[in-house]
Amino acid sequence: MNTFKMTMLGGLAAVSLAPLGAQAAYLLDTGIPSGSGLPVVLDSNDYAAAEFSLSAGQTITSIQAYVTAGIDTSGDTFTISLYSDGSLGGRNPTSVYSGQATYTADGWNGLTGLDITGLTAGNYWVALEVNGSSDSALGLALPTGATGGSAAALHYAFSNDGGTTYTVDDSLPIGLQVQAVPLPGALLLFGSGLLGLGGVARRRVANVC
Amino acid sequence: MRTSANTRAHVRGMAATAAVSLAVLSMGLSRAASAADPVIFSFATVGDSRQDPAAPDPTTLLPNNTGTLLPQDALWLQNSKAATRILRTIQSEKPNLLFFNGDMIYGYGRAAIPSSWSTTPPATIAAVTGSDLVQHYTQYAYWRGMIANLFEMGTYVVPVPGNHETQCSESVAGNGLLSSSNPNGCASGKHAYVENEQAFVANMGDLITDLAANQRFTTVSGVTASNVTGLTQATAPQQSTNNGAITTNQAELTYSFDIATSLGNLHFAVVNTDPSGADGTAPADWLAQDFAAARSKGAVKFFVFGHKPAFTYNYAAASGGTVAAGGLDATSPISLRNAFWSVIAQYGATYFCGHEHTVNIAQYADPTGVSQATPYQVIVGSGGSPFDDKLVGACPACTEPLLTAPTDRYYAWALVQVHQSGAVTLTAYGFNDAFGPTQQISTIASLE
Repeated sequence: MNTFKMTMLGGLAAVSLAPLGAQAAYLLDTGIPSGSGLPVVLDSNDYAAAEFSLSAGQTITSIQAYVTAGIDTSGDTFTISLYSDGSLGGRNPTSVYSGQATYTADGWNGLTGLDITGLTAGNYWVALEVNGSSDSALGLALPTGATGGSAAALHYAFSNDGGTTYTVDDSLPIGLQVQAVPLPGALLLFGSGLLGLGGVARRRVANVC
Repeated sequence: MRTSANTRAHVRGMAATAAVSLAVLSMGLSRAASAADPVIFSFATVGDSRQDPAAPDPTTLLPNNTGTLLPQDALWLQNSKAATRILRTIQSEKPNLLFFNGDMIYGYGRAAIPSSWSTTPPATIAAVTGSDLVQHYTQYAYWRGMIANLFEMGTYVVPVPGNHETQCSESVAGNGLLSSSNPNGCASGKHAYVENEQAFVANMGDLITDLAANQRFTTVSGVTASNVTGLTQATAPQQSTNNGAITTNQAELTYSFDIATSLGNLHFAVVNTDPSGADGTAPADWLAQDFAAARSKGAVKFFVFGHKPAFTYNYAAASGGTVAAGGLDATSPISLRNAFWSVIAQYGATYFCGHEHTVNIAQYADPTGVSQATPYQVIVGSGGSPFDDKLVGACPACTEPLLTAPTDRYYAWALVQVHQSGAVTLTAYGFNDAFGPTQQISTIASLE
């Protein structure tokens, strides 16, 4: 009985504490752009994207882009979208996630507190866009020369037709960060808890018999 | 071997091209965000979208820089891919006006009815459509179609005449798509002709006269033009010491207008830098009178748009070369150019131009010494025409030249924003000859 209680409590604790205790890891971290090249422009005609790899079950919690004002001002908005590898290569790609971000000051700007789950393992593109009907940015600037990060982009791409098509071009690395919670660890703990509960239950049944 | 847009693969699953190293310098820093100083008016400016049938830039040839022009560009002599991308991106920046600084058509013929037609009418359709007259008009029509969407999106296009519009090139007329002979007798060299000036007015005049008529100017641009001058011969430049030996009616070729703002009037002057009788000049006497009149009516900012630069940019400097003067500085006497720039300097104006197929923004002192100001000359003449700084060697094995500025072979344009505080900022944009991503070339925090 005591063993059952301990195991159950342990399992519950694992389930409840794992998401809180999991450390966010960078799936993509290009580092701060050095500014060694001319900035890439982000407007409703010109988009930019970077490719990264996602493992099964990871939960994306934050997406940040290194942005400067260009011709815009604090408060202007842009869109951050995620595309599967195959989708971005097609015409009129369909995003698996899209959210509106706000430029506040030169530096990292983007979305935090995200809970993007359910994506299958594979390569994805994080794209910076300006939706003409909902975003207010006219021409933000994306400094280039981002090479010193902890998780380099697999590739970069740009679109000059409002996202209809993208072209791979690694010559102008912009600053992007994607963070995720290693959810597989939490699931492992959760699974351990369940197994523990199952084992105790079996022993209880065996004892009764 | 250089990498071109043609060799770049679109993203297809795992497909990806090798990295393309583009050595560029950071010429412009981001302007600090300033929500407290909103933009009250803005305009974009670019020029030179026409293609060249005889010497197109190899990067516009398909396939692999060695083939032919797109049939539509061979027919209407535009660099459609570059020009439409520039126009589309300008549209996304939502300026009130777009000043197009000339060479919107290849032209270079003499847009008159061939004298021989009076006795020997053209016998074939090709003889008619191939005439300089029809070529000029159809090229204008194609360009007007390219810019049509801007009007629907809130940007009014203000046209500036260039040498390809007003001049006939004896060396070109009779070649390529132009008439098979030179029936109208262009003089040797390149000279402006009244028929060509009239063709510009016939095909662009509605955009210019509407500054006063205002059938759609305010509806499109959101601002109202006033004090419009240069719509009649009496108010347009005429022959004088510093206007040069103009021989024709310059109405709707050189003109000006004001836009009223909370700061006062913004004054805009468009000058024909190749008028008949005075090729390669800008009407300095007219501009001085125009500016003085504008100031008396409340003008506080002055902007001038012409085709030829006052100071030729030496893009060959890095390789130890010197580009021959090709702008107003190529015309004798140089006092005409000096007088023009002195007016620019005395009023703290900015001069926007093209002609050189590159981008260059630089300050120049008043050669006369009357003013101590060093106004900006903004060359944005890479709207699609063949780059002046040529590739080295035969393509596809050609290489980039030794660039004086990393953006010498960028298609480029400029956006000028007038802020509530009175600050006037300029941002130049462009993309490389391989049609890479749009980049911010430079930013000037104050044009004054």
